[in-house]
Amino acid sequence: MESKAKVSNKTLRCIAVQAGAAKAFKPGNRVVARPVWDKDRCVRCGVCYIYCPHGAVVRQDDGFFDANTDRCSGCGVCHRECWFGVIGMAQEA
Amino acid sequence: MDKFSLMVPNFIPAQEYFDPQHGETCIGCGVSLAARLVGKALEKACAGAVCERRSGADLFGVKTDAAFMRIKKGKAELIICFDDEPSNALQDALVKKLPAVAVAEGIAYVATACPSYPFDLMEKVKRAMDADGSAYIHILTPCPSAWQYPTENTVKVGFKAVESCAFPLYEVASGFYNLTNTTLKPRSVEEYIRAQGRFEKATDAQVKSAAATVEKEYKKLLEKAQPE
Repeated sequence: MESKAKVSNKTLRCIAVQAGAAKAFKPGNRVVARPVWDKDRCVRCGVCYIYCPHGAVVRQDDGFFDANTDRCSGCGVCHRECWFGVIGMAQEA
Repeated sequence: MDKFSLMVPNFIPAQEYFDPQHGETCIGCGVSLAARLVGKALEKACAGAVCERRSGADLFGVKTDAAFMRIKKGKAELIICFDDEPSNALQDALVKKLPAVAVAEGIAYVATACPSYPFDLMEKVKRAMDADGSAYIHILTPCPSAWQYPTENTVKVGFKAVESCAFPLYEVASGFYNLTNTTLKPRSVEEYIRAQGRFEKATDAQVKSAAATVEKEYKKLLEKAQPE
């Protein structure tokens, strides 16, 4: 998209609190990478869950975590914060 | 197994009270992370929360461009300021006026918090709701687009700000100071400043004077926190 390259002043002063600013827009629409969990090494501590800025990490029934693709913006905070380096970032095509 | 595992989500409510779809948030937004944690701490009380952001807003007689949230609690109110340092000046980034002004105004509970320490932040919000009278919480929210660092470092930059004592965490309840960051190995202020692209052009002399400012401010705070 064209708007990806530009950072408008409004985006720089981004704030989540303006109601109705972008109703049709979901954070997951502009993703370049998504987190992928390595379930063999994951200890299910939930650090990724608590540090996710958009609340995209959801806990599944078996206790492991996965990303909600509507909410995930691909920032990589979970990848950086994971104590065991379990989360990798998969590039989107 | 679940009984003995270190499940962080077991200690916080599972429901998300903050929905970034209704607003606009950047990738790796610190304000979004802070607002989410505040929502989890407030739970049902966040129904009455009013958020606003405009340039030159007046808070305790100080002009600020930061976003803030007002929550009614009885006759008093809780004000939460999401400070992402819109002014981009080095001195503004290191000396926070608003918490000191709030203490001088006689607010019953004043605290500083950072989303890098989520349980600390949530505990402070809960205490603010329980306090008698008005409360004020100043939250430092790293902003990847304005501070110019990689989006994945949002939490790390918060750690650096707190551990370098550039943004010490403390709470003031009815005049008594309580330091809540017990950093055994403080980082250098230079590390915090150099982690941000917006201070790329800062000279070594400026960084040194900034470190001196931070040390002075932190000493002042330590003196206030001393028990009499």
